[in-house]
Amino acid sequence: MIAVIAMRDFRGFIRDGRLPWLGGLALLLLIVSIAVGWRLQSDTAAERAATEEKGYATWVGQGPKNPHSAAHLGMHVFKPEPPLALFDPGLEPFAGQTVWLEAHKQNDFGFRPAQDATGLRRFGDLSAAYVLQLLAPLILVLIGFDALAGEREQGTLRQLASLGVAPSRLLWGKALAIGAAAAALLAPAVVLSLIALYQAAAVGALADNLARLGWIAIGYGLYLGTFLFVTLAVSAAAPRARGALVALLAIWTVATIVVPRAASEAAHAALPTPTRIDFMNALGVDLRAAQNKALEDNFHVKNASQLPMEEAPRALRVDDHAGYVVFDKHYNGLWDLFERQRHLQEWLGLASPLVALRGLSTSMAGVDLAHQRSFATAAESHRRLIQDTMSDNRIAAGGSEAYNYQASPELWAKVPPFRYEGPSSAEALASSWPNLVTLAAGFALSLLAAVVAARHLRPF
Amino acid sequence: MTPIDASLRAPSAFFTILRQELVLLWRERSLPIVLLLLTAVLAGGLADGLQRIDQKDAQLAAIAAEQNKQWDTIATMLKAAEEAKTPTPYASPRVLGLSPANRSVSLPTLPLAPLALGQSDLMTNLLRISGYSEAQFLYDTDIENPWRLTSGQFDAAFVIVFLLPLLVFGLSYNLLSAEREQGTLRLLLAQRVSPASLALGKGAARALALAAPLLAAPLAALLLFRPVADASALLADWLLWSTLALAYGLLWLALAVLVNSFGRSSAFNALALVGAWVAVTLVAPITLNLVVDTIHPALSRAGMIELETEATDESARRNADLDRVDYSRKQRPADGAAPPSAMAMRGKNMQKEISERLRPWVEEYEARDQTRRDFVDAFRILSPAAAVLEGMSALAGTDADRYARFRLAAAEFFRDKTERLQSRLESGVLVTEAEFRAAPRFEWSEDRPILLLRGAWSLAQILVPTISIAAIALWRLRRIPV
Repeated sequence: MIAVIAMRDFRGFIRDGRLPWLGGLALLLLIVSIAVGWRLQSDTAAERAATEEKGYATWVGQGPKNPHSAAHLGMHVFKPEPPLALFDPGLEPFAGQTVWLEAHKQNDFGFRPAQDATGLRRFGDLSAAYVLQLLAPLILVLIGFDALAGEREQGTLRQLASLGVAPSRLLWGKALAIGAAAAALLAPAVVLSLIALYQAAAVGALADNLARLGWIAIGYGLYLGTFLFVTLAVSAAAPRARGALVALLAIWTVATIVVPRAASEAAHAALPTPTRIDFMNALGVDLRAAQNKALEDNFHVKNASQLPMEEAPRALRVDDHAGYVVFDKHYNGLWDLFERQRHLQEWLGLASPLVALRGLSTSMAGVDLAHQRSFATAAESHRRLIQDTMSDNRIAAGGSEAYNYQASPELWAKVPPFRYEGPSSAEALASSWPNLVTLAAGFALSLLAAVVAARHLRPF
Repeated sequence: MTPIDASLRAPSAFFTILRQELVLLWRERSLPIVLLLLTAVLAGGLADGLQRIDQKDAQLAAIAAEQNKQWDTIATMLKAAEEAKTPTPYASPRVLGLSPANRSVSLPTLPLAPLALGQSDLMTNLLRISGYSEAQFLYDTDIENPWRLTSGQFDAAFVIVFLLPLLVFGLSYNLLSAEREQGTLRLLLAQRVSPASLALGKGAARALALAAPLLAAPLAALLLFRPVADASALLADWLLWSTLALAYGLLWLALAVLVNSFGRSSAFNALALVGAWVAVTLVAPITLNLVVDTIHPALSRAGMIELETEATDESARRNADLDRVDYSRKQRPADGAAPPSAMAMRGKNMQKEISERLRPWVEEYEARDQTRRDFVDAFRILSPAAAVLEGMSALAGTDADRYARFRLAAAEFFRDKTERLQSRLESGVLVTEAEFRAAPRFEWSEDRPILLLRGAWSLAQILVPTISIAAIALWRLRRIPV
């Protein structure tokens, strides 16, 4: 009976044009988004890799030079774009993608891609995640709002009841039909994603990326399932199809448009981010204090100018190491603040499954704060390696020449090229399981609501 | 028998319908609910905008105060040194360059900024001039959690662009279809009321009700919580901004009338309107963005970094003989001059060389950026949501165009400063207090006509489809199925 109901409804979706029109649009957007993401990703990855490689070649080919000057040239490193970013670009457009590893100074990420975009970027990025997060639930609503209310209006619900069709069977039949319609739209996108993933993922990383894609599929399944059962619950409870549609559109608007933005703004109002000026001023005050203390502890002087010039290289090393502690304190504090803001946003956004889904999706796609922070930490370690290698050489070989010492070019090659490996899927899941639990809870609640509404289904 | 005066009947019917409709909407509670929702989300949007812009203003004021203080401190020290005839290191020509007293250039916020935050969270109103070339500071940003940037803003412009249409639908998706479904449409038309008068009266009731909070709330927020320097300019900007918001609301109302004119069910109308909303606010802008990225892609940042690394390395090689410290050199100026150290000359030479090498890239980037913005300006008529958001941001001074003009002005200031300093540094002639005080400082010059023109262009892009849809709807209503 369930299959018969599902088949009849599925044919109805095709006949009344809802599935071909709505689904066709969504499918087209999904295919275009994946194709565009695929092309952009391969172009960007190749360009970034080439720039990083040339930067390293410039570093190695500096010729005889003072190591201090060499450290000031530094190098730029790029965060590699994970293969699943073509499915969900997440924070990538709004988080800088490169870090300049410069002497004495930890730099923030530079150049957010969204900076180079037009004002239209604020409407969102065309990606598979965008289509599935915003448009797919709307399609479920538009396909399913009259699933039960429409039957009641047309009087067919009474006929079905008189034929002995249990409300639960009717509910599952309707759910199967709407679910099948959604699956028909998603299947090509999943296949395309798998092909793109296979092409983009590095050898050895395919299994990890497949695991990530699996968790993403579970997350989106729970999310869309929640909307499916909410749609059926409202359709069962509403006296008329028109009322069900208006109520469901209001739910969709609040859940996908209003709550994510409102929760984000509320979280940031409660935990404000410092301005760059305030951040740099606080960092500067702590740096000066730490460096003065280090100078006094190591050399018993208050000012570096009081030191003999032979001590300058060692003083600079002491200075840099005092700075490392301060940079760690301030930058870790900033990352921690970002995480607290995100957690608060997720708590405030419990009313919308989209907030939890975004957390899970970006984490499993490797484009969330944790992945960004992991890269920043690795980049800073490399910067310190460059700094210490240069300082050690100056101390060991500089002698009385102080600043005017010139190192031989072999020194530059002692700094290896920057290599970065991001967190594994297991690590990503460890940080985003609360989102999965929230999604599962939302799904269970919506299922419960649909079952309860179906039990109280009035045939007229 | 007195003939019926047709010229009086229509307006009279129109006002009767308008009045009755307001009463009915109020009694059935849909109007108070929608007004409450609109006022609540508008208040939330205004509070968010005010908080963000107040924070920005406080930051700009603090920086300006700090720079003025440092400026006065240096001038006072120069004066004291001149009076005591004692040389001071502050009299070095370097002080005319980018000393802490004039290192930051700022873009003031405009009175309407809290209404439309636009690009203000992505672009910075404060550039700290530093580095070897303008490319190193022009594209700086403030610190922000990427989650917040990804989630988007909840300002008044967001409420109008995204939520207002849905509230309009809530009140008008069944404007005529409900009457038909209840069987009252036939009765109404039998009263010699034309379908057009009926739709216009009903539409006007909704437009008037929604216009009240749309007009009052932003103006009240600006007058109560923002300093008003020029009341007439504020009123002019607000008038244009509000007209944009109203025209956008009318566009959706006209569409609701058009959809109702097809004589289909209320559920069909709701579906059609939501479909149009999805197409206009969600699909069209991102598609247009995709098109502009494909036809006029932004210049590559990786390319800029590559060029910068190359230029720095080459310049360092050219100035290698200056990369040394003369430990026997006197630190204090003497004989009215402060000849630059080798390291200082290396720094200045490298700044000049790298800056010149990167300038074509900066110019090409800005030209491409302008082309991209021009393309969007021309084609955003395809998405009234994009047109209204861009227009509101332009009037609020938070659109990409104003930030681009700010970057150009900052780049020009940087070039002017560094070029004048180069020759002065070589001569080593000490700076006097009078000369220091007369040195140019960055001042932003607002181009109001451009802002108003951009706002008016957006209004025209909204009015064209609004009037067209309204005209088609009224034409179709002549033969509405009852």
